[in-house]
Amino acid sequence: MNKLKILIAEDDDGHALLIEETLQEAGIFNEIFRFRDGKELWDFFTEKKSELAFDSDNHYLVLLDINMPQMSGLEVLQKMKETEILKKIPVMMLTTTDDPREIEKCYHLGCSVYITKPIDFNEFIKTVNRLGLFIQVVKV
Amino acid sequence: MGRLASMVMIMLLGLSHLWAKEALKVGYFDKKPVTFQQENGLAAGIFIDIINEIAEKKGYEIEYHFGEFSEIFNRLQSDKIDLMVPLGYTEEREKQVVFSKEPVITSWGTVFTTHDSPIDAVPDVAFKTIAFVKNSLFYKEFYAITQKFEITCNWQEVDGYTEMFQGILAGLYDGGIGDRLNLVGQGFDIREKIDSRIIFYPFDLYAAASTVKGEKILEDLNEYLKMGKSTKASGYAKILNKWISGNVGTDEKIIKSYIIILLVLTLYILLLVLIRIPRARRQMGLHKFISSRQSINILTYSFMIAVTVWVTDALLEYFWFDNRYCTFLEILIAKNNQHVLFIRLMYFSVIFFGSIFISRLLENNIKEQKKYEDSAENLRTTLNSIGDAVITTDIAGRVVQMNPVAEKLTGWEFLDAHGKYLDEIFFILNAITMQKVESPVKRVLETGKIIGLANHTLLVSRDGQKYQIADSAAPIIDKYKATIGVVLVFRDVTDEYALQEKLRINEDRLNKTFIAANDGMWDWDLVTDEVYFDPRYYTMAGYDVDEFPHNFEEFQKRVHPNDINRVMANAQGHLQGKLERFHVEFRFLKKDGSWLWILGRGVIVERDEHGRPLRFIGTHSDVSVRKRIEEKLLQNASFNEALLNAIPTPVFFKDREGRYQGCNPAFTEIMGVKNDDLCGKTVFDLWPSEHADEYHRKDLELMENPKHQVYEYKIKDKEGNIRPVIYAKNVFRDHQGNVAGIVGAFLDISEQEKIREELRRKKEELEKFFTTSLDLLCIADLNGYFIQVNKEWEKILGYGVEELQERKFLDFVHPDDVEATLGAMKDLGQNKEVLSLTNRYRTKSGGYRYIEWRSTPQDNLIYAAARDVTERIQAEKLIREKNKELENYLYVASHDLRSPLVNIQGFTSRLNKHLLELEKNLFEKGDEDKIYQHLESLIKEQMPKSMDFIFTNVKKMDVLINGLLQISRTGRSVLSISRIDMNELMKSIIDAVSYQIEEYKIDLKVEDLPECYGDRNLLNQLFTNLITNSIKYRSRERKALIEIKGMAYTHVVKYYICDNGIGIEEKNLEKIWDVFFRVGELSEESGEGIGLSIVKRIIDKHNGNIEVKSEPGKGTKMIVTLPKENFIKE
Repeated sequence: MNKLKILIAEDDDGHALLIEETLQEAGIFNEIFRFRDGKELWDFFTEKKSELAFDSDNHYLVLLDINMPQMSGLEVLQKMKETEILKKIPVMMLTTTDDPREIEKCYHLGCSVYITKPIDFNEFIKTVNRLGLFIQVVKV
Repeated sequence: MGRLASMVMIMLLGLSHLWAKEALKVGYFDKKPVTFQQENGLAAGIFIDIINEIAEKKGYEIEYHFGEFSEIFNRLQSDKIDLMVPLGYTEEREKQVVFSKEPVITSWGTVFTTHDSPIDAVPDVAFKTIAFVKNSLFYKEFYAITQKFEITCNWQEVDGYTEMFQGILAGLYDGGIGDRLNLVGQGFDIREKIDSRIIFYPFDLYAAASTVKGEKILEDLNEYLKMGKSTKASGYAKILNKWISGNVGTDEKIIKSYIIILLVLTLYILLLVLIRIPRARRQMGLHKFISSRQSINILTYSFMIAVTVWVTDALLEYFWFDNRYCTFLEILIAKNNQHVLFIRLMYFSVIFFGSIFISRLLENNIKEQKKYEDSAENLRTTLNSIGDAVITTDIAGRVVQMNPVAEKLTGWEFLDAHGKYLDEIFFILNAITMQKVESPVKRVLETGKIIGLANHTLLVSRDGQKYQIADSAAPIIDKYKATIGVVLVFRDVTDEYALQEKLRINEDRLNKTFIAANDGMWDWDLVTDEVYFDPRYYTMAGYDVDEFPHNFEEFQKRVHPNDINRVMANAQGHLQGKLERFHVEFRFLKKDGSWLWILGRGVIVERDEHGRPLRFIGTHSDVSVRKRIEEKLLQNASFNEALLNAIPTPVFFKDREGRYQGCNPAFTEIMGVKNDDLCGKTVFDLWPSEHADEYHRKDLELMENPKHQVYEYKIKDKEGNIRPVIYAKNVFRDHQGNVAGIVGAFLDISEQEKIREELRRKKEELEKFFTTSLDLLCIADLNGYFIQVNKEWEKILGYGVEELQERKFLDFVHPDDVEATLGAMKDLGQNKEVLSLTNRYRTKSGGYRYIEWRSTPQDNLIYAAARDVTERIQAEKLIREKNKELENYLYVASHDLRSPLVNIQGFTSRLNKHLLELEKNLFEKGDEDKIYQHLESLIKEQMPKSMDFIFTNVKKMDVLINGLLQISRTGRSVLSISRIDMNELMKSIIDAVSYQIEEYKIDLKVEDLPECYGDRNLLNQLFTNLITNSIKYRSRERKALIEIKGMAYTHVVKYYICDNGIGIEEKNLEKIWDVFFRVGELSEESGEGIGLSIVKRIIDKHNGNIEVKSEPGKGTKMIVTLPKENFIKE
């Protein structure tokens, strides 16, 4: 069985770095791929970027920011859920917005978990740790 | 019944144990479908089937013990039973009992869902509604799992698994927790629809023994399971298949059951047919048969049904006793099995159709019986009440029945006559020859035909009296066409005979008299005082012919007491020769008690030698019609007079010369002139004034042109007041049809005039109110037409009142509001008030105004007051837009400002962590090089990196806050409006960006631009932003081109800024005005996303408009609309 790969789409470099490092500190040593916006991730799924080919036999977990240029996280989520081979990939929304309408929209579109990025760093670490737990579950 | 049979069966089984060798005791408890106790008390289930199969092979005698789990486990520990099934394995238990090596069945916890459920893995249950059964071990296990993942579910406790599954299927729960075997216990239709997605907590079920005997069978069990699990064709696999997949399918027992039921059914029908046949063969006395057999039949059928049900039940039970559905009761209550359903249907059909058949049969019998009794009763009554004599005989001619008339004529009592030969009591002679005549009965019996009335027959009764009779006889024939008797009918015609004789005598008299066809004739023999009245005489007054005797006294009795003297005087007058004829009108008593007006005429036709009258004949003519008319005429005259006196309307009449002929009291009441004073006078005599001229003129007009004349005029009443009246007049004619005079009436309408005046005043007031109201008032009909509108409408909509009235108001309503308006009209049509409807009306200039309505229906009209609320609605719209904008800013603050904060917080914490590490490493002793390396990486790489992130994000926040401030400033700034020379303004803008235009080699075309009004600074910013956007988002693939054009319209000026840049995707066209929205990849040149926000705000402040048209990859066109004339912003 192939090891689970984590795909992060995040336009903010700082956030991306923080997530990656915190995940590692939480003991998640899975391969992490970072995409600078939704379009880059979508290109990856649709095999437009050859060096990092998407393989449907692999196990993936997607972490999505919502507000990204070119293609928003919501758009990526919607497209994934409409595509047969991507439907089953668990998607976690990780964003600064805590607008309940936004959260509802994400769950409606079929995201597995919605996590608000907390400003408090300790909270942030806790959140990412919990994320780690989910990732472990998904691995099972 | 089923219960009884099963009990017998159990008893038999129990007896067999008495002489069997000592049995192996197996304990079990309720864990369907692994082990459970059936309704009939027998053990069943997977384990039981396995034990039974082993016992059969190895020759064990098994004795099952059922109880609670703990009770059975205790018995196992104390060696009271040999084997326990099933038992979960624990180390502790193994110390006390011996477990089978192989588990009999493995189960596990399951999250049950529907097939289309989104739940695939544990995290999916978050925020879902999950059902569980109280005290369930699996719930506890799964709850612990969700806690570990910090998942929150909406837990719902249910009472049992059936409820859980039904809830899941009904959509009440997203899922349910249980053991996988819980589903197996359910019906097939539930099993089909339920899915188990998540599984957890597997566990095995074993058998356990405590005694040597038990251990021995454990060995067999181990061997059996080992063998069974290795092959799919084994008994073990079959048992599992039977209980878990539920494929009981084509079990031969079921086929057997079908055959049994069919057999019993056929037998049942055969029996019914057999019983019906002899009944059908009976030809006569059907009702008797039924009434005698009725009770037996009910018993038979009931018994047969009972036996059928019982036998079927017992057979089914026998063949099915080890299956899950085995008794009649269970079949009735068992659900979800097609076979059972089928059998149940057959059961019900047998009972149902059997019951219908019997009830119909009984109903028929009772009906026939009733019919027979009714007809017999009818016959008896008819015979007794009939005017003719009737005698019936049997086939031998013996009397069977006779009615009272027959008793009277024959002189024989029925009781005496019964059974005697008819000849004995019915003795007849020929009236002419006086010879004995043979009774017709004999002939009827011989010929079988009906014998008609014989003439001149004399019946000699028992006491010797003779009657002239007419008789006839007919055979009585049964339904099989056999003669079974005779009915003889005869009648006494003695009187008729005598009457006929008499008639013959009178006939000649009739012929002698000439009388009108309709007149009654009388012939008075003055010597004998006998009077002959002819038939017409009787019938004229409604009597039967010869109803009263033929004498004068009878006539006298029937003359009206008030008329009798007159009649007698007239008659005497004629008799004495004083009157030439008898001629008098009088009333004659009819049979029904009323009086008939008669004209009696008569003359003496015979006198003796002394001239004394001997015979007086004459006629009676019916003159009631004429009399009635005369009476009516009299009545009418008095009625007219009474009417004239009674009516409150003044009435008068004049002759041709205009002289008053009379008046009624009402006339006198008002005019003060009495009838007597009035007669013979003219209008000029009575009320000389200009009135009289007019009265006269009108009278002449009427006489010249006779018709109903109605007109309004005046009168002067007795007090001298002038009153308005309505005249109604007509002429009356003499018998030759010439105008004989005038009859007239008038109605005082002074009261009505007053009311009319009042109404007119009210209407005027209302009209005034209607026209002066500031609200829009209107009256419309339910068909949607304006009937009346007030002046205000003219002001608001610009149409004249006449233009609106009589037009359909829907014609003015905005197409989008038509539906709502129709809805309101429907409410009004149902007499409901409409208190709040707002719709848009088209003005004459083509715009729309918002009109708010309050309407009330009344008598198929709509009364409405409305108000122009356009200003308010526009203000509301503006506020809504502003609110949305504000909300957008708040959203931006929550997201865009938060994003750098996360970074600042995060990297500050990292920095903190680095510092701690730094501190730790600085004072730690160890490998200097390694420590140095680590410190270097911290100081030179990691810490600067964090610092860098912090600074970048602080800067980013600064930019964002500045942007927000800039927008806010734009919104708050006070406009300084002036005329703008756009050519000049555009030049200065282009000068400011000329460096970029040159650098990127942009082809810029600016046409001559019209002037507009606005704030110079703000418009500068507006066009700068648009042009820099066109530069920023130019296409790198082609030479950039920017075109600026302008066009002046009546009130506005439009400027076009067109480029051939990258364009905007359609989904983003709305968003570009949002603050901080950026299109495309981040790059050096991309802005902070506030440029267009500012543009929009400036446009709004100028009451202008901006429109964007764009095609991705081709270019963008911005159309800016600004005022052409000066305007003052409030």
